[in-house]
Amino acid sequence: MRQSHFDVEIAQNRYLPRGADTVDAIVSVTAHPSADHQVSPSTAAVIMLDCSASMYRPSKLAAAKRAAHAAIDSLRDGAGFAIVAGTHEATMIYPSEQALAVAGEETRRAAKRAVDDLGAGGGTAMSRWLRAAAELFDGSEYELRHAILLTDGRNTSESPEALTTTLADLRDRFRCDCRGVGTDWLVSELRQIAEAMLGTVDIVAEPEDLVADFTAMIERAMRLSVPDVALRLWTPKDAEVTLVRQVDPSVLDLTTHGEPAKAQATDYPTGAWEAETRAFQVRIAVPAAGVGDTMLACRVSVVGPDGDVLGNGKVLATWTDDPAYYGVLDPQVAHYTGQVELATAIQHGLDAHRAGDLDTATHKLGRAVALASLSEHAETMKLLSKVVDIEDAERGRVRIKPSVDTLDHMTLDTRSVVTTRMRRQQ
Amino acid sequence: MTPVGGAIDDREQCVHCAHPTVDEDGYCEQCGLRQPVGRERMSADLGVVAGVSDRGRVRDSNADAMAFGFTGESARPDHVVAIVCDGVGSGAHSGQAAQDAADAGAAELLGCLADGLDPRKASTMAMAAAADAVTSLAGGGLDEVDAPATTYVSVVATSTEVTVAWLGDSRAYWVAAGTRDTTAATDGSVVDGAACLTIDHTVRNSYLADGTRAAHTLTRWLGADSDGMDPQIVTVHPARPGVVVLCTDGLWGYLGDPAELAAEILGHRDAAEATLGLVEYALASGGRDNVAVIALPFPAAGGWP
Repeated sequence: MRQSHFDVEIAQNRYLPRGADTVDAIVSVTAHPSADHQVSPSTAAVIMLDCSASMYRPSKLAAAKRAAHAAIDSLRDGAGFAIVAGTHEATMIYPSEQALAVAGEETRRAAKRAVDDLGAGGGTAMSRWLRAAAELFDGSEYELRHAILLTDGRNTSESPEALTTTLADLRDRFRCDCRGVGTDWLVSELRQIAEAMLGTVDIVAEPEDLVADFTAMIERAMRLSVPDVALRLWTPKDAEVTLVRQVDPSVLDLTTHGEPAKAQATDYPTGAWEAETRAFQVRIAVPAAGVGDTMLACRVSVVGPDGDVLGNGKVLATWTDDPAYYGVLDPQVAHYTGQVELATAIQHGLDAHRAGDLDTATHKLGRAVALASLSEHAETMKLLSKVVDIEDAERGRVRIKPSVDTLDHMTLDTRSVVTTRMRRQQ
Repeated sequence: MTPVGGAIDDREQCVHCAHPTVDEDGYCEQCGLRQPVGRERMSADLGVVAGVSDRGRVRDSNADAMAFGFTGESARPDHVVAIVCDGVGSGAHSGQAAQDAADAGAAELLGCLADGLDPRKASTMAMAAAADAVTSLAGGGLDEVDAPATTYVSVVATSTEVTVAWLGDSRAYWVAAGTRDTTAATDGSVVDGAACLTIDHTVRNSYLADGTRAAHTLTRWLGADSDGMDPQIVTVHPARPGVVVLCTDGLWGYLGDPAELAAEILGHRDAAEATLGLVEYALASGGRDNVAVIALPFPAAGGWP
């Protein structure tokens, strides 16, 4: 049995000027899951379907039911699963008792029948839905825990603090991908859940698109083969990790997810992996050493659920007085710093637009257009062009469209965090 | 006895923070700083003589070299000898020239003394052997522009006298315990306080902008294009127990005054600690150049003063 392993590549300019105390690097991690199917982990999925009164509009509820059917059909035999109806409370749809069912021909059929009987009515209290999912996972031994939350509205039946407290309690206990259907939900609310639960957020503009989206999410969950992977960052005494964020495929801040692992080392959970590459930006505050000294500023280890080290990389720092060395910006670091700035510029620009501050919105979205142009981020450029008229992309000269469609506004906001990879220079 | 950088596994602790564990790639498990490898940091301690050499903070490699040893028993040696060389030029072979000269010189010096030659004659023979070693390095097809050359300073300490031979600007100092006076040192003289025993073979040609150190050009050296003349030799008779220090300009560029050197060295407990302290002094001062420092207590069998 061959164990999974991970390649870790570090991109950085390790040379720092005299006295500098900040080290930046991009850590690219590629998973090579074990090809041996005997060691694939056991997987469970919980699907939370918004059944509040607003879902009553027949097209929405019917589409949600079809999507749930597709998700159930995509489950691998033997996978654990449950369907939860979310309103101002959480109700088990399938199975009827508070437990996970095991996917098989019979349970799939029964689950779909239960979904068909769903009706809509009541409020929206997402923290109850999430706690119900957590209880289902807690009572089980599945290694890989994946939830999907579908909503069409805002979290109006509870205070924002209730959700914040719940997320602090449940953080990193399972992955939760969030989907908003229509335009009555809040991007910031679903983003808050996804960031805490290391999942994704997306907008599903048309209810009929839900089927393909749910199928893709469950299929991906079934492909995930290395559960509970963490980045373990060792730093020298008196040094500190000040920033850890995923920057590829999307921006996801992990800084506050750190858990002390051993002396001078902290684990940052990244969830489960399939055969894929992700990139992380890491920033470390170090005590400046002398000119000529070389320091191991951070040892990056990829660790599995049992604490096995599956891959390693080193972030270095060498102090020099020679500007020919320290003056060079690493292209990967520059690229992903730009991608993070792009996401931030879009979000701030859209916030300003919502608040009626057109000057700030124009300035920020102009900056976003310039950054998207520089990094050849075609997808984001396309979304931006639905919100602003672009006069000069390179210089970021734009004008906000006189009337912006809410759907375009929310789509740009939701997908602002999706980054593009650096074009390889010849 | 030729100190070269030990394998990383052999190091007892981090050279920066003294933490006891260093990882397999040479990074300290506590402070993260990389341990010097190969010639970047060399040190050895024979009790009766000890030395440390370091690459410094600016140069890419260490072209300073050391060699030392003794005749007789280690508890009561007849002679303690030491050599410091500073490879000239920036060529890849300057470090090799310095190390070959130090090794050949030390072997010849110890051999001649064991055969009963007097320290002055032995010192001359040793430098000739060192010169041969450097010249034969040049025979390996190197062009003349990059021809290897090195400075050279040797010392022989017995129970009654100290003999120093040199070419170039690596120096020998006499430092006596219990006095901080500076005394004159000429051939055959009695030295008491602190004194520089060598006179640099250099001409000063300009001053650096910061005024701290004259840029200078060597007028005598060992190796290609040297003048072939005998080395300069002095023998002095110390009035009391003390310490002989050999060093390259990587140290004396920061700490050249004999009285200041004496103040810096005499607070230490032994030769190993003293040489390490002086190298750290040079690094803390900027480490512009490679540094090599050897210390040996006088008289040869007398222990640290």
